[in-house]
Amino acid sequence: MTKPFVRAGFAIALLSLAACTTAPVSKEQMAVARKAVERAGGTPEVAQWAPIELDQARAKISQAEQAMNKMHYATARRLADEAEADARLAEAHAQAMKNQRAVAEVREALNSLREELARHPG
Amino acid sequence: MNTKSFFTPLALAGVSATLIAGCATTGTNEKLEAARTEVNSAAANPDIVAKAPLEIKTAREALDRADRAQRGHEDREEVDHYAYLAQVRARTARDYAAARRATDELTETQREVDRLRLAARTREAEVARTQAAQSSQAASMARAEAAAANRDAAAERQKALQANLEAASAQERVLILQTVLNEIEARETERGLIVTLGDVLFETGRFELQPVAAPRLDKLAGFLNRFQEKRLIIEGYTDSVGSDQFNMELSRRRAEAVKAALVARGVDASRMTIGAYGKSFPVASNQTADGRQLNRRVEVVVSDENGNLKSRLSMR
Repeated sequence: MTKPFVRAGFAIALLSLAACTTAPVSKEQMAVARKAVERAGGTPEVAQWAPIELDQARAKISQAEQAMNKMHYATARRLADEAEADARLAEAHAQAMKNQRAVAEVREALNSLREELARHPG
Repeated sequence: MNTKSFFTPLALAGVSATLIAGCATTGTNEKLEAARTEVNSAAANPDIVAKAPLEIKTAREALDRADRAQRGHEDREEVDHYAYLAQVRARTARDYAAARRATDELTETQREVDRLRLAARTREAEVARTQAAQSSQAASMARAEAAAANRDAAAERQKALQANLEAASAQERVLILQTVLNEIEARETERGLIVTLGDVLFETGRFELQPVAAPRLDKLAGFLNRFQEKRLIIEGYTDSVGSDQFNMELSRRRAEAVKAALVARGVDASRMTIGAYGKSFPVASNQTADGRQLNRRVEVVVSDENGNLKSRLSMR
């Protein structure tokens, strides 16, 4: 007579565990994160303009892999996702810095050109 | 107690409650609120939304996920994780937007640089053209100056010849003068040297010089140019045909015609004075055609060695 209650209890317990750990990290997810970090690390501008973000991404992806080996899947998933986000931020930041530097250079050229034209008016 | 009694519903509920309590967090999450501020700030910027729409979307999704985790009392680590993702993606959106804005600005600035460079090149070309025009003008001016210098040199040579001539002995001068005077058929008279330009010089009633007068005028001009100190009175005469007033005017015009002819041959006008005598002082009879032709004449009185000139008026 108590069997339905037993089943219900099991279900609650499993759901609670599931809520805590959620889905374990997939190999695909790890690979995507790893690739994002490698791509950022392989871009010289990123190393030049966003070294902190890049280092953070690298540290997190290796930590993710260690967690994976220890079967701490939730931690591994979180670290992998954060590593990927860090890598993309590093790229965006480097791109912004690089472009702004280029703008400053061209702007400087424009100013000296204007000065030159002002010095020798036609 | 058997193993079955351990798995009583009550016991399972207890385990479950413990697990939930282990995941749950209480109160506000500072990391989550910081992420919310950053995501909202980026999402409120139309330029960022326009330039990095995908990054804004994923940032919002992460923020929603963090909120759900917070509301569902999930593990604190999970809330922090999604808050972190939301914050990093908001920053990524901001940086992407900045990068694209810089790209746009770069394109625009480069276009302006190109436009100015083109303008500068065009202007340089114009300056070069102007300079070329100026240098060719300078070259033609230099040529003109060289030509002027040549003329000056010729004038200097002429002056030197003149100086040589002036340096010649008085005897030589007399000899030269005599030769020239013979050439121009000058007569020594009481008024001094007189050169008569007659011989069909003028037609009746006219004052234009006939072409046959040219050789004698050339010789006279040559003499006057050689002896620059000589001054002249050019006197016009007529025959007796016509009224006195008409003949006075005609004689003046004849004298002026000769003066003009001498000026044309390089004799300075300031050396010449005009005299008009009409039909007065005939040199032949006006009764015959030959006589009248001799009377239609111009006499050129040349100053003596002292520079004196004796006009007919001064003779009276």
